[in-house]
Amino acid sequence: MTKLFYVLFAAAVLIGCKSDDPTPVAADPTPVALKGVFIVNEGNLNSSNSTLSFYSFDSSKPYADVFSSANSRALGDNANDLANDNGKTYIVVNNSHKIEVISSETYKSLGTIFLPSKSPYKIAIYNDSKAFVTNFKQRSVSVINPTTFAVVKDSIPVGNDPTGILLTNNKIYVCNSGGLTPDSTVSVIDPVTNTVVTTIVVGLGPNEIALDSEGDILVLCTGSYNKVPSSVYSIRTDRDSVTNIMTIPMNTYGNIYKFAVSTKGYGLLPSYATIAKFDTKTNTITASAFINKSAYGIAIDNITENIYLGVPASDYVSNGNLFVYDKNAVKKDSVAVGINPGTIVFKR
Amino acid sequence: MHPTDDSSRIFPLNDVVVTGSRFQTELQKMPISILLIDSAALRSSNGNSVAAVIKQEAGVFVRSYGGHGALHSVSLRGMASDYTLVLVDGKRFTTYQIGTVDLGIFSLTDVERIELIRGSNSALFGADAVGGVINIVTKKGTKRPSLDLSHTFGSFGQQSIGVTAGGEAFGIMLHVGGNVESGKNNFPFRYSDGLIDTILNRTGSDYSLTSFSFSATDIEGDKSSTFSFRLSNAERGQPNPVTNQYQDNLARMRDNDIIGQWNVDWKQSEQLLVNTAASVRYNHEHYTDPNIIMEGKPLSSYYLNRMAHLSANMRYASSEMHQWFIGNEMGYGNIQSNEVKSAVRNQFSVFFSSQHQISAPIEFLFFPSVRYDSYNDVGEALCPQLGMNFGLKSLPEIRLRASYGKSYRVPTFNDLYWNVGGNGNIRPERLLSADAGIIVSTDITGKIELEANYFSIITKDKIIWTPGQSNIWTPHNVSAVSSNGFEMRGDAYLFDEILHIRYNHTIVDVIKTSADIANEYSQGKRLRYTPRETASFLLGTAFSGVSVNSIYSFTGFRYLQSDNNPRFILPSFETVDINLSYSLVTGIGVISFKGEINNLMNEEYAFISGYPMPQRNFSFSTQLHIQ
Repeated sequence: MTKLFYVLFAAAVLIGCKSDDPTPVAADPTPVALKGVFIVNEGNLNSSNSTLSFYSFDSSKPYADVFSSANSRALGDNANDLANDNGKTYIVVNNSHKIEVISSETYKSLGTIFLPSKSPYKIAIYNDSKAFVTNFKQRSVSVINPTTFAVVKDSIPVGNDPTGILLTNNKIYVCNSGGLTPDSTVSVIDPVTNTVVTTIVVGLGPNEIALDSEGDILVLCTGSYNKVPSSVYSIRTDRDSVTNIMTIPMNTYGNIYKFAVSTKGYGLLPSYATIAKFDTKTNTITASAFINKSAYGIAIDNITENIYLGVPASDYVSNGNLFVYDKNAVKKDSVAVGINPGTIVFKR
Repeated sequence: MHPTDDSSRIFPLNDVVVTGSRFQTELQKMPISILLIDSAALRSSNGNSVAAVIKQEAGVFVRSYGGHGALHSVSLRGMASDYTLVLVDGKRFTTYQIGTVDLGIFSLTDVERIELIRGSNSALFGADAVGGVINIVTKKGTKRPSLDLSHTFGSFGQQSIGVTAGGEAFGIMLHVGGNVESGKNNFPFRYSDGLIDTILNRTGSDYSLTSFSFSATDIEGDKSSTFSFRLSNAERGQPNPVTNQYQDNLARMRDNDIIGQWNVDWKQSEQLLVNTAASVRYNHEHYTDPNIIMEGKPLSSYYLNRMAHLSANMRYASSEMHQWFIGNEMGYGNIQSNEVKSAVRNQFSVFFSSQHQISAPIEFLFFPSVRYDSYNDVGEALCPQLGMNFGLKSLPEIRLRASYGKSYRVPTFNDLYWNVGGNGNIRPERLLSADAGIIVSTDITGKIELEANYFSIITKDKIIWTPGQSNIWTPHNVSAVSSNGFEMRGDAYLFDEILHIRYNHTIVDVIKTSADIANEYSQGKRLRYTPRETASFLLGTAFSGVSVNSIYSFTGFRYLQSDNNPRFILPSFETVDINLSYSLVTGIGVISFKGEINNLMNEEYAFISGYPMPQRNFSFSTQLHIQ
């Protein structure tokens, strides 16, 4: 009978010493009405671990996960873009097929715009009643109402795999990135009629788009990995025609996927090892290794000219860092943010 | 689960020979932990795949991507699933392309028993025998004619029909078996992201499995030859992880698999047994996903693996006290794929091991062994191992054992030759392992067996894929991981086997010990998706044809991130499975009925985030056995 006792004792031990799940550490109190930068941390695809971080200018303090702290739920899967407008912040969550709308001050949810059969990628806000969202896999742009959160127009057909989107000169410019099926065009949409009015041919793989200090549109074309070099195309907004092409030597820089353009006449190109600097007036690279660091997200503060870099962890599954440099590339700060910080947007 | 005690005779040909042990010795007297999951144990479990019946065992962790028909990968002793070597009838089944075997589609219809060999054992089995070895022993021909028919139906459209038959013809013992199983698998699960809380249906996870096996055994005097082959086919949906309320699951995977084996055991004398064997495996896998467009076309990937092995070995017992085992093996592997560069692997191995017994008041056995493997593509590996086992002659119930040695994992074809990023310069991972355990077995008040093992497996050149230039991921031998743990097992059949109690408990710390770069977040942290603790408890009773088993399982929480952020975890879960069966002896044979309830308490859980497991579900099977 003693042996039976041991068996039952072992069973009791088994049930008694079960380890408990860890208790999540208390989140920082939500920063309210601070100026700073939002960092959209993509997380890992299919893992629903995207987060929104906030870095305050005033205190140089990071807030790792303001969306969850304010709303007690996860942001979603693969958050890709963020835009601020009129006290509201719109976060595009690609693989959750939605746009989360929060208060820019309290980060509390104001609503969620679902685009069920779409993979929303980036957003451009036109006015109180219209915002344009690129749908990466659907080769289309959706129009939503940023006030009522209704879908205004389900789909404006554009080129292959649209990503970057820019509002300027009362037109919407859409990069047809060809991420899945090669493309080398920019579609121009009339935001009043919701139709494509013209298509501009640029380099292979247009991925990001920005306005430079001269009022030209710059389009970063990634090219094709190890086959076609990246390039920056300049487009005159009045004529919608290409005026300059700056090719980025592939043997030095590899292929470039993102860029940042300031209003002070220069831009930055994160290559696999360094951040290169280029002049937007002469369209030439002025420093090949302006900062000796690679980055996944990049932004330039047009007032202070500080540079913000989102740097993933080495394994891409742990939390990454935000690095802050001044305009002379002197490191000022580095703080932990979320996984794969890919998009950095200012909030003033 | 009591191994047949056939140690009194050396080299029995027809009784249970533990393929896994290489020696003919009582399992309690082996230097390593070997568990036989025999047909009785298979019947007391729920489920009808190899993965389903081994998941509760100590030291085993099965990651399941869904219900029946979904991918089930098996990890042993905290190691990843590609550190488990899977054998079928003692021959390598794990392909060289990926080190992981999906045991969720290996039907039990033609499985006789499963041998679970815990712990590193490259000195006997060669590559990938790091966490342990799973040897699936298939049914063989019998002298007595028999016929088994079974039908199963269950929740979510599960249907299966199995037939096996055995008998003798022209002096040859034959076995044929076949199984057809399918299911729609649109099971409901709860989905919540804080905003939406709703019941969704899993879609795109239907499956259809077929298998056919044949075996012929000819025994002439002291010579036993077996020829066998097994065809299997799996066609199934591969749903995406659930990350939102919309599901668009169109990906599918098809596997066609053929294995063929020829095995000869030749007893030359009472002391000498010679074995020669040849085995081949053909595996064709085809994966399609219309939702993923690559260069303008929907994703369509195929992988054709062909593998062949030839081996010869002999066991010689120079006396009651000493056995010698020596052999060699030649292997060939070949891959053709549109994702992996075509490659050929040739392997040559020699191995030597022996068993020596010293019988004084203390009965002491030790097992030195060494194996040398040479590959045309990744170099060489030399794995020595020393095992020992001892106990008091006056107290045969208690045995202590320990082993210490080197093992290795061979780089996969994916690591070496993947079209984008494959690195032909990586080397086999060398691992150092030690384990020690105690086993207590007695049949004084019923059959009771208790076992406890401590183990430690250390790797310093683990292959991991890291992003290099222009974000192209390539594998390198750079990471270090240690797995230290403790597993306990108890099995008791009490009161004339009316009551069956079984428990398993594993605690394992799998830690990344290296800092691969500066600012390392994951050094000293646990590996993702690996629980620290798992446990199971079975309570069963069998009485005049009726048997009832209830199985409780606990799986601890798992971190989702390598920096072990407590906010991102998969929570721990507990499940209860029950089965009830009744056997009736009639004029035509034995009719058995079995009802199974899985996840009785409706636990919501997942092994991998985004892959929900089914809630409470049922199956009923009827079996007719004619002999």
